[in-house]
Amino acid sequence: MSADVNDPAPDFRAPATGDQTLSKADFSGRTLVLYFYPRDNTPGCTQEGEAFRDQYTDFQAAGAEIVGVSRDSIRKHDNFRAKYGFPFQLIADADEKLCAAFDVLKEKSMYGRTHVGIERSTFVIDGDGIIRHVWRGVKVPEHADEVLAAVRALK
Amino acid sequence: MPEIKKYLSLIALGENRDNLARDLVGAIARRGCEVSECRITPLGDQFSASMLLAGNWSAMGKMESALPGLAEHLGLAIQFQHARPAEPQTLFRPYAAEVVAPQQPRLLGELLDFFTEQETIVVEVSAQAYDSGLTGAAMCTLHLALHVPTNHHPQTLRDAFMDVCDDLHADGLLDPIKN
Repeated sequence: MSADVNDPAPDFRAPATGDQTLSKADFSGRTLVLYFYPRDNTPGCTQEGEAFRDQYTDFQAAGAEIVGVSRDSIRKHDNFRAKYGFPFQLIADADEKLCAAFDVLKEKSMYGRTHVGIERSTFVIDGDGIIRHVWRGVKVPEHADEVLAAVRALK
Repeated sequence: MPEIKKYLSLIALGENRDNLARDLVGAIARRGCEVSECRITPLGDQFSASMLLAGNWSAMGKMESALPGLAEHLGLAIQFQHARPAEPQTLFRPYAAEVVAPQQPRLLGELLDFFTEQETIVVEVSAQAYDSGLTGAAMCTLHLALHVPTNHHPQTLRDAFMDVCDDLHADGLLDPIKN
């Protein structure tokens, strides 16, 4: 599957923190920042979540909601979210359907062994459900600033 | 009636010199104790040893009495206390993690945080910083021994470990310990 700029964002319906189920339709009419990250409680993922947390009110002021996605369980997500005070929800994509739909699963190699993991990626989806910006292989520093600028430019 | 073994754990630290390990181990043996577990390693220019000694009541009494004088004689700071052998951990299986990465101050702490989050127990840690002989880069190698709950899915833990290594720009291996 592909999820590129100007494509309609794939439909999704997935369990999330706060005992919720989130779907693409829930964000109709609003900008959605959907960011995929490899794993709860790892350094880069924590830093990325903190950066989105710290600018959350700016994203909201720009008409955007933020949702994080990884393959961790709801229980781990709830702990991660509470531990770092994330004001946004996290989707538990345990069955990897959302990751596959957005094409963020990549084979990684280490010490000659391979495994499939999430490539850190962010998608900005406009209120009509169209993907307007895509970042793949994200480097965390400055990334939230860059996304916020892109969201503001949509208005 | 079987003889009841007593145990004493000790750590010793002092300026390194030739034959220090031999002198320490010899002094222990002469008092009738055996070295049940032992790790001796240099820390910078210092000698360090951590040991679990075992012996009968009499030998252990002699050992305890002798340690302050022995420490002075060998030029070591020695701390000791009564101990018991480790209890079997039958609900865990042993794993070894090896990580090689560019040296970074938070590396070990991040890995310990990670394994704690994974509900595993880190039972041994060894870390060595060095400048690569090939490139001169500041590197670090870590070896950790872990107790992983037997009901944990190994591949899930390994995937998570590889993710955290990826995040830390590290190479890592996580394998079962086979004995």
